[in-house]
Amino acid sequence: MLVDGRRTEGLPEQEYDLVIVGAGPAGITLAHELRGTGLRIALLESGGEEYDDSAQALNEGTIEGNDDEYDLAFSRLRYLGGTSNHWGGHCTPLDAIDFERAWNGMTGWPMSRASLDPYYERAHAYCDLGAYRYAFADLAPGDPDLRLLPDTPGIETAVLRQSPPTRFGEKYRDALAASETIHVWLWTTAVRVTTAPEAVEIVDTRTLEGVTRRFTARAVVLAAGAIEATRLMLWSNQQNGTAAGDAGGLLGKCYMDHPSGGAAFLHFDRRVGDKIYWADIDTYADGGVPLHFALRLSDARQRETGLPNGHFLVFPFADDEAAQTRKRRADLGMRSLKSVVKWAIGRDVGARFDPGREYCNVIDSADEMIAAPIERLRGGGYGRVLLKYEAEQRPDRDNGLRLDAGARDAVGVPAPILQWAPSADDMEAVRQSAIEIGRMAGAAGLGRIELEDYGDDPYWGTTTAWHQLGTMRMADSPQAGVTDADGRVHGAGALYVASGATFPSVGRANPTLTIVALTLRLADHLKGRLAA
Amino acid sequence: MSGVKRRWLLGGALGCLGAGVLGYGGSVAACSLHERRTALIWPLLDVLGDVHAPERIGRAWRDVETDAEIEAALLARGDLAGAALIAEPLRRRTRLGELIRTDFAKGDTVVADRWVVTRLEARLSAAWIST
Repeated sequence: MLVDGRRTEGLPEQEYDLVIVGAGPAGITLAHELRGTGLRIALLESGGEEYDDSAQALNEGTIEGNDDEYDLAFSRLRYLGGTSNHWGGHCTPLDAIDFERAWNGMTGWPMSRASLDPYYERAHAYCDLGAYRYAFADLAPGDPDLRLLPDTPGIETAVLRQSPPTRFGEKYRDALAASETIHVWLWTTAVRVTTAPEAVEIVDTRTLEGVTRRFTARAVVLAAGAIEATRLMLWSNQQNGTAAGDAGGLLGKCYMDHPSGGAAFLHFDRRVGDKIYWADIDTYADGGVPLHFALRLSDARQRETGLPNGHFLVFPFADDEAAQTRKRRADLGMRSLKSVVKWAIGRDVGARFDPGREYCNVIDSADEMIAAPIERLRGGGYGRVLLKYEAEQRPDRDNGLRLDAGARDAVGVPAPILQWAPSADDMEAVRQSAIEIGRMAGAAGLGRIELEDYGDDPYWGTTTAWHQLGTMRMADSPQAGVTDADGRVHGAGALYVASGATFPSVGRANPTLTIVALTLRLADHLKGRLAA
Repeated sequence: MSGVKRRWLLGGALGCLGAGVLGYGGSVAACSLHERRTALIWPLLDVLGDVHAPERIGRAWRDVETDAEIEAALLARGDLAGAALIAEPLRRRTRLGELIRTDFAKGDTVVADRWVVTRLEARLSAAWIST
């Protein structure tokens, strides 16, 4: 059932078995997974069914450090489906090596990749990703000429699967609305979470109109993104005079992202034709799910060198400015053509789709769209490619979230201040990884690497991937983390977190698939706990 | 034309030819007295065909090693001398390419002005500039 929280009459009681804060990918997955259990569930969503400026304004905050192409107001979304509403859809699980490692004196993942595999597999259905297959050997196109580098023990091809992308709000709205046991409270923002002495969890909420409510439940799950889940926890502790989850002083610490940017150009010794890695084409698919290919150091090579994880997306570069302009026009036309086709067959194209604009893009770029493949067939090929990194950022206490004592949002919660500064060590790791690729390219007679010139930019030209992770890290010990391996907040009764906030390290993987997998793991745990 | 004597014309032509021969011969003689390592370096410059910015790399590497150090290092590589002695250009280039790929595979690489190249490529680029 969908409930408009702005109303004051004719509403259901606010006593539930479970309250879930946040109706994004984690919250909706959890509610959907528990729908057949008979548990009474409240799913709280700050916004409505569609985008709304006033709800979105609750996201406003400050970034200290690297704010290039980054703002807190629009890097996540507040309406049904949450940030999945502008999700790009690249998916891959964390690598096995990510579960072996601990950085900077912190603990690592309190579980193995093998133990998470069944949940990854189930998460594939939620994210519309087809079969749970990522091994390049299983998915590689037959023609070896489509690869850049041969298999070596040091470098391998990573596979990313492309979600449509799944808009969780659109996909599950009708099922949620039809459920009698799940109440989706729209326009209802959580402002305080408390564990009462009798082991009842309390969530206080407020609407933009000032309507306040108190929800009680046997368990509460904070299923918002890292920033909002952490912000609510920090503010709740402050209001309650408690330090739930903060025995080790780690609540709000160790914020991580995947720093992203240009690492190097790979100049070919001879011009090359199309390869599977070209990030601007999605020709390859597995069971209808588009695949993307990237280069990465193998787990074995990472162990040898001590380098953190990361992958390099490959963008072919035309050689001169005029050719680059022509290629950009051709790419724009192709993107628009795909959007128009998707729109025509009724697929999701996002809220900002303008059919007139996209159609005219196709018409204006038609000549280049035709010319580009002909030129490639004539042997034009490419002389160089850009290697764009998406790197593992290692946890650092200096990166984190705190509350702004001088600014509150419309429901009275202090605004967030995010400190995010990718370090010189992070940059050096990217550089060393690119050098490793350069060695392999030279050994294969493919070409030479020219590293990017970052000049005196303190953040080496890196930008955010909008992957907000790590401020409520999971660890077995309360001194080493905020939650345990199930996501239960250390020191709180039945308060859980289903969010990228719980990641103790981030590997190279785009996080949504792992967030959904961890949520499914938590769902299994809650089925047992709440049934008992 | 009547004013121009045939012998003047022939004498002038022979004079120009003689000056050319003397100039070139003198230059060759002078250069033979100037100590250089062209016999070693020139056959190896085939390597630079795959180096995309030899001038940038060479200038950067000259800040790392002196000409004498570069020369000594090149002379110390027996496999390099073997390749340099191959007279047939295509075979020599193929052999040098193998050496370079092997160096890459062994990790004998440097970063010179942001280019990831083998140490050998960096040295030859520097030697090319110094030659």
